Amino acid sequence: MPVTLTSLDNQEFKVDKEVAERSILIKNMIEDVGESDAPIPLPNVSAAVLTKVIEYCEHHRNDPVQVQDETDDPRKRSNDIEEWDMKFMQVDQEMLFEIILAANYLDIKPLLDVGCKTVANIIKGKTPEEIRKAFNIVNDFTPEEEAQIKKENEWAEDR
Amino acid sequence: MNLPAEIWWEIARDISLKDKASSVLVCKSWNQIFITQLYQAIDLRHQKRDQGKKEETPLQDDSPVMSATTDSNSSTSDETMPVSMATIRKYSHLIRELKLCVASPYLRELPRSVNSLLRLHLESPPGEKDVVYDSLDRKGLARLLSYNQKIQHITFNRLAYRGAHKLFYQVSAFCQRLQTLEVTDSFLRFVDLPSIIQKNPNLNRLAFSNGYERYCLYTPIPKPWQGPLPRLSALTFGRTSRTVRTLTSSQVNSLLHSIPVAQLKVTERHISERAMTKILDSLPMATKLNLNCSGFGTQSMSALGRFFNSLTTLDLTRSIRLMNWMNEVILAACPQLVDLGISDLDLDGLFEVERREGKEAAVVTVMKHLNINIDNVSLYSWACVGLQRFRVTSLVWPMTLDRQMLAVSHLLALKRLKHLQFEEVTLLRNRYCGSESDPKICWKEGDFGRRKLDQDSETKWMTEAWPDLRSFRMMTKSFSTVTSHILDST
Repeated sequence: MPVTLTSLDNQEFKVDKEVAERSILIKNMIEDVGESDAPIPLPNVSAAVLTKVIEYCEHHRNDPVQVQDETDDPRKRSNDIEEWDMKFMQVDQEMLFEIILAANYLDIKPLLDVGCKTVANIIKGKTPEEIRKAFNIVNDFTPEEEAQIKKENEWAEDR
Repeated sequence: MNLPAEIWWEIARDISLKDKASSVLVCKSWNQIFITQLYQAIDLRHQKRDQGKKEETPLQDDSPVMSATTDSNSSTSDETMPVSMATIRKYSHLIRELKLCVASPYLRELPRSVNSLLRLHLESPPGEKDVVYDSLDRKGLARLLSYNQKIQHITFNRLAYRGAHKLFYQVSAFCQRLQTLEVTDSFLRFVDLPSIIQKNPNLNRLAFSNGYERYCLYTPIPKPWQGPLPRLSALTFGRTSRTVRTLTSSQVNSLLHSIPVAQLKVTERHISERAMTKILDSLPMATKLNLNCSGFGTQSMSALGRFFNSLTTLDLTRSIRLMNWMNEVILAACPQLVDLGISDLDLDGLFEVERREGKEAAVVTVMKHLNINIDNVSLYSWACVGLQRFRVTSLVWPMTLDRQMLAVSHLLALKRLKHLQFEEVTLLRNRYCGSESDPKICWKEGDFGRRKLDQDSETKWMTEAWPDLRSFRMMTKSFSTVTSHILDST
């Protein structure tokens, strides 16, 4: 049974229930409302972002549902991203952030994880100046403040 | 366009300490977000290498066995501390997890400032082979504990302390919210287990392993358990030098008898069957049993019978007296089982014995015996189709093609498998295996995660056969010289 989702800009998307239910938010909504043809409004997600999110859910429609495994060691969390996901995440930064926000809002944990890892990969191995450049951030520290923070956290640099 | 702080924290979990140190320098808003992550868990075990070991002198303690010469003038200069005290004081409210050395100057300085710890890890200085008795700054520790009463997890590693009862008395007195207490590789005396359990009502994991806890039960339990039942759900006894003695003592039995521990781990390797049986007999209930020890045998098997209906985890991977019929019974009789580790006879041990006695024929019998084993396992696999984790150690892979197909086909009946592990497998396929090409019979060696299984054409069939499979491990044991020797002699 297809489900209709309405984006922020009132565009309608018809997707399979199975695909839509990758989002825990939508899944719960469907369960609460019961069988209904009424479109599900998603006022926090724009059409462009929703298109991407649906693309992700379509591709991962058959993935086993992630269960928090108590035996899984959090330290063993893998840092690698699947090839398809990597390509999927090759978007400009604004879109990347929008996807992360949408995944957070819609409660799609695997997509949120991939998004966070993508951002983490941008930060990795960079100097503060390079990070500023990568995220288009202006340095609002005075040179004294910067020197002070640098000195305080020196210990973390040689680990 | 920016992300909320919770998402940045999530991102921070994936980056290194060095990256976090760079991130706090980016701008003020990033500083606020990442500084919490930088100081959340802090490891103060490493001192700068070029500094002298002047802080080695143990700090004064009221224990009479202590050497009385403590240099009270040893200044706690910032040079011996990788993170300056000023910095720690400034960010102390952020610290939740702390790793420290026993004689660390931090122990003297920290207490007043750090007061929101949840986890504490304490050990002898790294790199030192022998731990030194009584080098612990117990007063420092007592202060730290008294300022951090919300602490939930404590680990003592490589700790040598004669007055251990005082140490645990402090832990019990200050840390009412303690959930986990782990003691590993330590040399402790007079550890009063019952009183630790009695005094820490929230304790749900207690582990003593790889050490020398002598007189583990200093105070005998005076009477049956009183007061509310403890929440202790897991109790671990490790490879301690005295465990055999302690575990057979009636005190442990009455301890176990009076405390409903759902999970019991005994990792002591050399434990007698009698002791094992007594332990099982005194357990009031059990859902998870990890008995990685040699002692499990026929008698213990009948003691285990009481738990068949409640067992969800059973690990017997080090048992050398486990016989095929036991595997069969376990597989057929435990409906709740989701995690099973069974073992075959300890080949290493056997070969040693046989070489000493020069009876090669016996080894061959044993090997045939093993050979049948996987069939037996599989014949009963229908009985616990809900099994999620399956581990086998010391196994001889069936030699003939039809045996192999039979074994595989029955393993396929365990439809809900998530983890499949074979360790120390002996493959004799060079001589006997009919088909080298069929991946369903000649399983690939190595460690595979779900993704790797999907990508490899030779293992892809596994994820189709077991849709929930997340990991697969096949480790062979190379003792080709031994086997060829035996095979030639038959």
